[in-house]
Amino acid sequence: MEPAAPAAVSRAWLGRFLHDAQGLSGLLLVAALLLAALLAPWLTPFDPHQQYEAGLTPAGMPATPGTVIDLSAAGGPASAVMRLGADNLGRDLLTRLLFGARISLAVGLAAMATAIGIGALVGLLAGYFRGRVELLLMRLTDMMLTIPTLVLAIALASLLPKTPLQLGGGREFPREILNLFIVIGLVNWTGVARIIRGETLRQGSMEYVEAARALGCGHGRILFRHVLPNVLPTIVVLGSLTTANTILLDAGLSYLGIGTPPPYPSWGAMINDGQPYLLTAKWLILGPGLCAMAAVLGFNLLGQGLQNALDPWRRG
Amino acid sequence: MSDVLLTVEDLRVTYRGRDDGAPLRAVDGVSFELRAGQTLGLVGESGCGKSTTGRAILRLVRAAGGACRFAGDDVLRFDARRLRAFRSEAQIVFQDPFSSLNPRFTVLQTLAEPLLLHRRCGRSGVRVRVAQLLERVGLDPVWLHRYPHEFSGGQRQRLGIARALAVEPRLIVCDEPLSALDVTVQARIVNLFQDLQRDLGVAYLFISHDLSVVRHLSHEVAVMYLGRLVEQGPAAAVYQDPQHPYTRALLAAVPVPDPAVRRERLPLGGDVPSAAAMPPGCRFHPRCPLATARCARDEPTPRPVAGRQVECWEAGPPPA
Repeated sequence: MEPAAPAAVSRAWLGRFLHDAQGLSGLLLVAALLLAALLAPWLTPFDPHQQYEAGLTPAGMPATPGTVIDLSAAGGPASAVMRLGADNLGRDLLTRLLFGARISLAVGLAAMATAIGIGALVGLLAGYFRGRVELLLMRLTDMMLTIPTLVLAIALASLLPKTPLQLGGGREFPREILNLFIVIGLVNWTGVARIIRGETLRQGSMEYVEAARALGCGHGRILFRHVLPNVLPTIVVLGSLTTANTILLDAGLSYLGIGTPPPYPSWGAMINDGQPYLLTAKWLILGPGLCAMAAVLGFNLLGQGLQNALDPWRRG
Repeated sequence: MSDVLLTVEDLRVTYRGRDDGAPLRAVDGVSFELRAGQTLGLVGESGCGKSTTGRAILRLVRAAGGACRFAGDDVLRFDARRLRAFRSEAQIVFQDPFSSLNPRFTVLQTLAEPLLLHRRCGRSGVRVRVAQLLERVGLDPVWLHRYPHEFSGGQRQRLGIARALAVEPRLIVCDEPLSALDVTVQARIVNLFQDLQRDLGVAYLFISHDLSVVRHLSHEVAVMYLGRLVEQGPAAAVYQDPQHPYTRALLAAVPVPDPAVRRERLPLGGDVPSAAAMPPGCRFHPRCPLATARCARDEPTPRPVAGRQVECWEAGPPPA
């Protein structure tokens, strides 16, 4: 009997990830933002939509950071501090950043899921079936790539309906937010499709795929039981990198006024709101700008760290 | 003599040439017979079409023409249903034990797949059967939950053999199953192949570029050059008295483990021509030491010479 190879640890990638500064800092950033979004109502005494009288100066300018507000009428503390000041309508900026994280991250992640779903399916089918299927799918991908992302997103967003969704109990959900992640997903899948196709081609040339065919496995079984699990590490990395893109595009579209409708807070829309105050009340733009930057940086670092850990032979 | 299990007649496989060039004739009219429970060694240089031949017989690549009769029925004309049943009658063992096992499947998953796919046992009996298969190929049955990367090359090749055996096939195409292994490991795997044939009566189409390995295993040998079989016959006869100049050159190139023995060397000139630009006449003539004007003009057909089929104008006694 041949000597066994040293039992390599199948979870070795986790160890590599935990020793990777890039990946860890990305993970910390992303985790902090996700926690802030989840715990938003407990982190602040203010209401994100409430305009406070003391939030505006007598001249109508946003209140400066540190302004104290009496919330006792609404059952809150008597002296709540606006740590980052107020926005142009007298709403607490920090509160809107926290609640804005909910919308911006949710849209970013949902758009990523849409993009990854479409891109991975197109890439898998093109890379596995080759021939006409590949020709058709990849030319379609190339066509999508020729249209500038922002133009396509604006065009798509204007086509989708705007009537609010009824959630029951009289509550409404703005359709624009739903449209936003569909649109962002639809313009972000092409890069995913190309990379997944390449990876599927590589896996498809391996003899284990031919062995599965020789055993009589059908296409569906080979594609989803054999190939997909081997492509999954690539999909995970792409998921993180794509989220950075979708969050950025969400901020861009909301800034242009196509994304999240008022009064819902979202980082891009808040930058737009704060634009006239660039010189007089910088915090209106700095706050949401830094948040968006942290999210994009976090997901990029996380993706790079995952790539280093899952595929250490192809360091980028 | 046992019954004929597989009869291949005039098998052809063509690949589309690059940039609409001439089609590449990878397998160009190959015929042979394989008897049940025996081994046919298919030897030749890399790129001569031997692996393609094996894959065409298993319908893993599409044949352009010819017939492959397996127990009487033409494999190339099987419909989807019959093909599925055929998948449990003929299997393949691959060259590279590293890429031929799915790295995300445990031993149990790898070996359970063929068993369940072809209903060789029920779900409850899978573990017992997988353990039996592991023992059959000389692996410890406690390794059910290990992944391929936890095994050595030789152990992985045993797993590949176990996967092929799971469906209890009558034919296994062995596509260079030893060439990725260390020499000491090769010997053990050769013994495993022989034990399995003796105990289970499985027939092998044993593809290799290593003539000494094939000699040890084969009952019959077929020598392939550029998509055609140039010489085929009983292994002992072909090895002791090769008739085709190509076979002679191949055998002369095999190192002999005895420094006292000096053998005639027949160095071949040049490289194997491209199958896309086949030379006219005999496809071996540009490299052949015996070539005449006729060889450059007319394509030879197989002739019986010294108890075997040889495809050469100059071999054996001159034709009447």
